[in-house]
Amino acid sequence: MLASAASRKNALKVVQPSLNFVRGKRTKSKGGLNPQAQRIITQLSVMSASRKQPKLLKLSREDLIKHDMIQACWAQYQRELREKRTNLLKLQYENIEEAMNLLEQVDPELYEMANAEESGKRVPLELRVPTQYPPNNVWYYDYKKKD
Amino acid sequence: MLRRGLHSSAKCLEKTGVWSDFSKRSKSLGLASESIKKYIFQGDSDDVRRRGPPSLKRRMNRLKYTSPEHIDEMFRLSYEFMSKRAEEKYSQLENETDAKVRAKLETEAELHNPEVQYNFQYHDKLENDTRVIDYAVPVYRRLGLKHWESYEKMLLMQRLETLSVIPDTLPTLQPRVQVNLRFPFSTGVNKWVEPGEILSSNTTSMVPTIKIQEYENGIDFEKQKYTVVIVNPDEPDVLNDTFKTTLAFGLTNLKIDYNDNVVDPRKYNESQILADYIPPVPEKNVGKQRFSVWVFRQNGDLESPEPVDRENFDIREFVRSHNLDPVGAHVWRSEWDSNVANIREKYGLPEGRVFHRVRRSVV
Repeated sequence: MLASAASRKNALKVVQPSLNFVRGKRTKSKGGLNPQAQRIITQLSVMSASRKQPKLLKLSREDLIKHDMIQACWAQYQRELREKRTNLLKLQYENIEEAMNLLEQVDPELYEMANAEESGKRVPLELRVPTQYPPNNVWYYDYKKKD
Repeated sequence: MLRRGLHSSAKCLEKTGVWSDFSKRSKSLGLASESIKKYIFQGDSDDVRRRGPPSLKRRMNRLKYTSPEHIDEMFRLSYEFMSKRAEEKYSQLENETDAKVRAKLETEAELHNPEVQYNFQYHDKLENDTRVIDYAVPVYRRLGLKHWESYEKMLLMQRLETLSVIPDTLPTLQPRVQVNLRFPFSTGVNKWVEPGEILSSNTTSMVPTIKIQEYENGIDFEKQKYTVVIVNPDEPDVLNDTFKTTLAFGLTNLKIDYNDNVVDPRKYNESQILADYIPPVPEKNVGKQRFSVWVFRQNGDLESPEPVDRENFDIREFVRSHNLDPVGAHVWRSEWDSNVANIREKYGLPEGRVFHRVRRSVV
């Protein structure tokens, strides 16, 4: 009975944590950075966000007008290019349509073949694999399957 | 010591192209200031660069300033490119007869002219100085319209709606003219009034000046006439336990044009006055009263308008009977202050009532 009481006392003694309050003691490791890098990080974290950004570009009135003009010019140039391209595509489409209409009148059978439904056909099998140059041996005419 | 410019052989940019020819074009399409012109067009010459941009007022700021690299080369390139486009527009204009298309082409030809842009962006848009911003030129009308639409038009509509000027006076409004309002300087407030502002009775004691700015193309100002009325829909009508609308000011058959459009007492005579100006004199404790300015386009002349009932003014009936087209509006608010009694005395108006929280049974 007495022994058991003593052992309980001992157990309490063991469980109690040994706290030692020391000022300035590091509780976390700093991720293994060298002191110089750490110094830079500390300095940056102290600095306010606005000072880390590049300075606002200040333009005088005249230069702002010039800048606007350059922007307008670039937009106009791009618009002209775009219009030229869409116009070209439109012309191509119209020509294709015209040719197909002609084909329909001339040879309906060919027209049907040219207009055959090809849905679900991702890569045409007859398409040659695109290469930069044609191979030296273009086709194995006497190819035989190996057993 | 006379110093020879090193870049005297440099191509003088503004001397070339359609934007430098003022034989047919309005003078207002060019820059008036020589120094600004020089800075924009010959910005890479040493002399100009040393002096810095003339728009900066302090010398130190001018010296400190450096313009972005290569901006002048790029500007030269784009100026040539865009003036060529403008030239095409002008050549299309030569054999165009449709007025609508003409105005469109004239606008497009000048819209990207840096001198026009400078004039419009950095000068006063309300005072109508025709040497700088001439609203008779289509491109300035277009720029003015866009500027108005970008803020002031929306602000006006917001104020009219939140203050319930629409539908309390007229059902609704599609603003087509910019209306600005100011009171004479002698009253102490020398500024264009923002819609919905609360003004003191001293400020509003004299006839306001109303600016009606048209932006639409092809208006025949020989025929087109305007009517302006200022109404107060917040006059208490105790007998009927409601409010009534009174007419504070009315003008008819006004003639304006794109630039000469500030309607002040010099602009109209006795025959054009529908109702003399009675300044806002709100009675004590009635709260804020809205004074809404309405501008109408007339269909023809308003023939000898019969004397209107100022005390019970029915603005909707007035608009209907005279076939008027509401195109613009403005609003300010007034409330009782200690100066109201003086204004009443000055205009020979009866002494105002004082309203109380509890209504007496006998009126």
